[in-house]
Amino acid sequence: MLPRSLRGEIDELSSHAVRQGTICDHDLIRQRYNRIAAFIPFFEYAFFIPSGLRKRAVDLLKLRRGDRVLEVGCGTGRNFPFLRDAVGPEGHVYGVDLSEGMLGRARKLCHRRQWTNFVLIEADAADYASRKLFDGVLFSFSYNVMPHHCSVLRQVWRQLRPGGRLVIVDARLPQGFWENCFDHLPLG
Amino acid sequence: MKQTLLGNPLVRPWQYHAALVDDFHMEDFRFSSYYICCGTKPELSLADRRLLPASRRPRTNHRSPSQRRRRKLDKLKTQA
Repeated sequence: MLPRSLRGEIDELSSHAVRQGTICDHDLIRQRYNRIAAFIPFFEYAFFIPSGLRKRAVDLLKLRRGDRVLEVGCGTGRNFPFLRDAVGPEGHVYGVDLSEGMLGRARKLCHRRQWTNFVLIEADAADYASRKLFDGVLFSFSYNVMPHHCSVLRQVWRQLRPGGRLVIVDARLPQGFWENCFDHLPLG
Repeated sequence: MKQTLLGNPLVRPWQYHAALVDDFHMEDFRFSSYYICCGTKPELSLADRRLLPASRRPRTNHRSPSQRRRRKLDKLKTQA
């Protein structure tokens, strides 16, 4: 068993390597999502995303009026109406995303609905640190697209207050036959 | 890299998530193609729990090998 200090150092080094290496190319990810930002509502139908899924995820955060919530990979703000309903005008919603194209659309949405309690940050979630702790953290279709998801989770976990809720919504291959097929594909 | 538009389907976030939280809960939707996993951050971190005196530590089901052996012997004795 490695001493805790050494384990921490290895963790830090590996997360740094993942962030700096070719695996996590920020520019590539940013470009990809800038390009598809306009089609996000279309994907909702194309991938048969259940209609009540986003609302259910926000309900599971068990937010109260005035709470502070962070959405990691907020994109164009598809969850914002539900988050706003949950925290009310006195609460605060923070959205972090790497793509300026996505955030531009989210900003427009906030402006159109006259929501003033939204803070949108263009950053890598693994580097984002808030001054105050959050009451809830939501990953909505963002966890699986982050190549350095462990670093992001570690960073977000530090910023969640004890007793706060962490919710992850995502897609996966149905278990069984399809999952096995994908495992045996000769890719990477 | 095994990567699709919806991300890498081989990443299983619930494994990391379940290890972190106390009351892990998962819901499946549309033939298990979509899921929500959620949980609450414990009031005390693992490191903090270790620093607490034994009397104030939260009760767990963990038993040392000697305790387990003793329990097994007691059980055998009662059966006999």
